[in-house]
Amino acid sequence: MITVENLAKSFYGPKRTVVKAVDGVSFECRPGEIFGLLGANGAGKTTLLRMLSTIISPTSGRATVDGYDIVEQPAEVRQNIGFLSTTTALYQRLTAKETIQYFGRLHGLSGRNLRDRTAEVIELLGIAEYANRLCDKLSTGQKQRVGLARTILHDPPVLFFDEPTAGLDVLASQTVMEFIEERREVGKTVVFSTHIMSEAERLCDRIAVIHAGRLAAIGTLDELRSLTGKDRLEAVFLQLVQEVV
Amino acid sequence: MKGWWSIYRKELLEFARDKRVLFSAIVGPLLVEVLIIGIFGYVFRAVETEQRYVLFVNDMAAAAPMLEPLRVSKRFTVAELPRDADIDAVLKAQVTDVVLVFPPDFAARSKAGERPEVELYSDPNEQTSQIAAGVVADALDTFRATERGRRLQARNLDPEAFEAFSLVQRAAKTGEAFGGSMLSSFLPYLIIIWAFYGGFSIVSDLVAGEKERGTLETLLVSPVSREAIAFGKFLALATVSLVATISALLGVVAMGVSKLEITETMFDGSVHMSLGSVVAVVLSLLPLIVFFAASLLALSTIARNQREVQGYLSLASFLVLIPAMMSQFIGYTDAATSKWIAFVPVLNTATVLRQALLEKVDYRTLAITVGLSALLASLALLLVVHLFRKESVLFRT
Repeated sequence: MITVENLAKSFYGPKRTVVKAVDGVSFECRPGEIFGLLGANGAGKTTLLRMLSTIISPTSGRATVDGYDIVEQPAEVRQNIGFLSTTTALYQRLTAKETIQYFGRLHGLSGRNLRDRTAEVIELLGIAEYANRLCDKLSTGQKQRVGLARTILHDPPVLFFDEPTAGLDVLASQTVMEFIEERREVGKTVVFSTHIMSEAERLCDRIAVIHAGRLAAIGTLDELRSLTGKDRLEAVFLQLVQEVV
Repeated sequence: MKGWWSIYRKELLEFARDKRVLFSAIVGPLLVEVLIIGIFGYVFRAVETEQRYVLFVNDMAAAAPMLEPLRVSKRFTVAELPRDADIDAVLKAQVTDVVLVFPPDFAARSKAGERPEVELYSDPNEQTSQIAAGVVADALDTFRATERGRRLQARNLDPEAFEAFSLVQRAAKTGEAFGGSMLSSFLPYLIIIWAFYGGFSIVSDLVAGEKERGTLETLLVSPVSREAIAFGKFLALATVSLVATISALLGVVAMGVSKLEITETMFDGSVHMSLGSVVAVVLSLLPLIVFFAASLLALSTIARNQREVQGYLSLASFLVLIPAMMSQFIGYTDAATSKWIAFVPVLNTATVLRQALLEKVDYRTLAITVGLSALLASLALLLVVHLFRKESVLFRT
């Protein structure tokens, strides 16, 4: 479960101007739900996810992840989340298996528990064939599978996916999307950020349209269609964004 | 601070698979020390025993008895100065190293007991010319002393009666220096350089590289605290710097114990070191390595990318190189015993290393050096932790 109340983040831009990357965003995301953050590049999606995963602190507002406050209990939040984005990479000189185990150790797994979980996720994601190959030698799709494996190794109840299919081919994208759908089926709370309309349409139970750091609307796809009177998500999105501007 | 051990272990595993690290932290320091000592040893030995010189003389008959020691040593080729030769020109053209000129009436005046003037020309800009001039002057001095004695004895006078005193040079028992004075002057510099440069190959990768590749974000999203991340990375860098330093020291010891002919001049003392000196070396080097590692890691954290780190490292090199280089010349001044030396970072460690090699450790200097390096290391570590807590630094890409 994720609750976000009036969350905001400002940065200093050129010549000390204040840039509001996220401006008073509020929403809730429930277990077994894929909550979509739909927005253009620079809309504030990544900043929002970075705040929720406690990598950066909010300027104002409040949020809890799995019941833990992101400002007061950051370590507990990080223990209960899995985070994957296109910008997160793998260590080139570690094998796929070593990478998965490394992140397992960072999440407090050890001994038999670590070995068993590693074997499980390697099996689940079909990594066995190249588990002992250096990440440097893996294809983009294989790397993304390893990234997914390290994200779920500690079995977190909350998962953040920040444009996880960007740069992937169709087959690799399918794998990622199927994987995210499976996470929903096992009751995980999933926040999925994207700017690709078809992905949002396919995956998201509810969608938050975000633009210039502000929330334009939240709802199911049908709710957003009725709100704008448009049918295609692309048209819905454009109308909502224009209203924010 | 859970998790630092996992980060430390992972960094070391990556380093072990990186050929650059293996070369720059293990093979490089060892090889460079062996090469430098070998090359310097060869050069000094050549200067002392193998270098050949050319001496032009205008009067071979007059010079022959005087230059007998040079003929015996076989290091001089004595040739007649061509008639009408321009002495400055032949020296400048390096046709000869020195020129010895006798006056035309030398034999007659000498026989008459007079004191004719003999001229010895050398090129003040050429070291070989200066060395050759010194050797020829020594031979002439020896001949003059013998001739003076002969003349006095011919007059029934005791030559020793004309000497105010006799001089005997003896070596004081100040302890056996490791390798001798030559090595002790530049060894501290070489060791400190490796303590600093040992981590160069990995430092830009440690934080700035992770920012660039996007792996840092993955690390920051784990439950491990930022202090633990900083500490694990710092410790990995310090380990590599320590390995590089030990490797450099092993290179020196290997050359010392191998007792090669070419390094005889470098190891004119023993290769033995007292336990006290070994302790002084370890005590002075460890906090310096920690200081270097923490400072380099701070630069890698501040930088946006690996290229920016390289720029910072170039500037930082000067701050280390200058005091480290000064240590090579400190033995030629009274600064080696000055109290202020202990308060100059890097130079103080070099001084302690030099003292340890010469078996003359000053414990006050050692205590101040260790204390100051430890203080600087602590400040640099605090800076790294502070930087890791600043999101603005970690997301500057």
